[in-house]
Amino acid sequence: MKNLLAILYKNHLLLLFLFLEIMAITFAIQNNNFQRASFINSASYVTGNTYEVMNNFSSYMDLKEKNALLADSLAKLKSQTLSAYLKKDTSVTKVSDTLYKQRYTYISAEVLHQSIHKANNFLTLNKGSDDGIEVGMAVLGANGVVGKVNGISSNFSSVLSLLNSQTKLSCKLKKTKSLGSLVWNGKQASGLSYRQALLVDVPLTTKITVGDTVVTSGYSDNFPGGIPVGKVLDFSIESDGQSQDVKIELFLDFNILDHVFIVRDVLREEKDSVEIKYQNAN
Amino acid sequence: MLEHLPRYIITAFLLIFCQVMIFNQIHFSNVISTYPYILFLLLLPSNTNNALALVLAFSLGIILDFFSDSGGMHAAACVPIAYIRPFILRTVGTESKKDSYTPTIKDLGFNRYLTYAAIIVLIHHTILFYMEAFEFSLFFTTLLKTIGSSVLTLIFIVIIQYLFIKEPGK
Repeated sequence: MKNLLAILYKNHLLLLFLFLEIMAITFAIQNNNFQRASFINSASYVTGNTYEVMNNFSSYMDLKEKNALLADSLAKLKSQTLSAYLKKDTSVTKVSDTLYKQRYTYISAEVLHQSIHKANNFLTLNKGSDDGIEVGMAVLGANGVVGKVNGISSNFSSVLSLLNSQTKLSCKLKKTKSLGSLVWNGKQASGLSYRQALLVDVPLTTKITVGDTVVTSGYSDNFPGGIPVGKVLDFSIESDGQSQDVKIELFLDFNILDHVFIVRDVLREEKDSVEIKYQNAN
Repeated sequence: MLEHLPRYIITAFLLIFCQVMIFNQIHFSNVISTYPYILFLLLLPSNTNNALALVLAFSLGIILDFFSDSGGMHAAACVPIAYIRPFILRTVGTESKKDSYTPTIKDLGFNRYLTYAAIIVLIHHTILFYMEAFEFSLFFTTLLKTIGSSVLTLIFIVIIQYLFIKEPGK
């Protein structure tokens, strides 16, 4: 016994070395076999937080790129405002304060989460009722329609994406001004991708040209008119022979969407009250 | 060792921090990466208790493993170098007359230090990369990776020495 202890003590370094080494190799092999379930992974609290800090830092490094993108979309929006146009009709009195009354204001928001590959897609935005968002408001991207707010909390809002089977948006063809409803049936109906949508119920008499722009009509709740949505790819006569279906390519790429604008209709209450008073009276 | 304890704790913390935040992000064409954190083991005084050195090496490796999701690979690579370090130090020799010294460029001289560091870095990287590949069909790719990465790690270790390490007691 004494000898055994002596031998153990003499070799205690080697034994400690073998013990630690075998332990380390066991960890390594276990980790190879069961990556996720392994004992050591970065999901643990401390390392998770560290990576969050690192992520914050690296997203800060992207700021320049993001700023360029924002400036770009801002420039596009600015060029669409009335002040960018020269007014040529001199027969109208030009006191712009009374001629133009602000109808829509825009609130910018960031996309926190979104899906594009499901049959019914939604987005989550980082603005909520505290920022003046209400259910039913239109949501626009830099170059097209994103969807409609369908639920809010005080800090976040949920948006019914255009890529949703419940979507029905009144649109018109820019050249002929004929109306149709924009729908998106997901993949099952007509193999539409997230870059495509369908304009249905276009009258048979309308002459459609491929490449024509589709814009919002302004008749749908809360959507300002004249916002470009997409361009005509293809068209066909509906199976019942009563109207035409137009396949369009959306301008907005949902895949790279990160900033959106929520549209607030300042005159909505007034419009609603008029409609309720005079149209739903009987 | 004990009187330098706070200094060593700070060194370990800084090296792990730099390894995770900076050096782990350096990759050249998926071949060369760099692990200067083992400078901590290189810097342990020559008379460090060997058992303590083994435990320190294991802990250092496991902490790195936590951050790199690599199970126990870093630990498996660090423990052997703590084990053979005294032999290498004895073989390489020193100019220092003291019975305890810190293996730095100043104490060993540049050539001796480079030999000492190169052997340890090579052993560490060999174990690490072969464990990572885990099969011998990738023998030559891994060899290339080991040599390239060892050179880069050595360069970083020497630079860090000149920049930050001051003679103890001065």
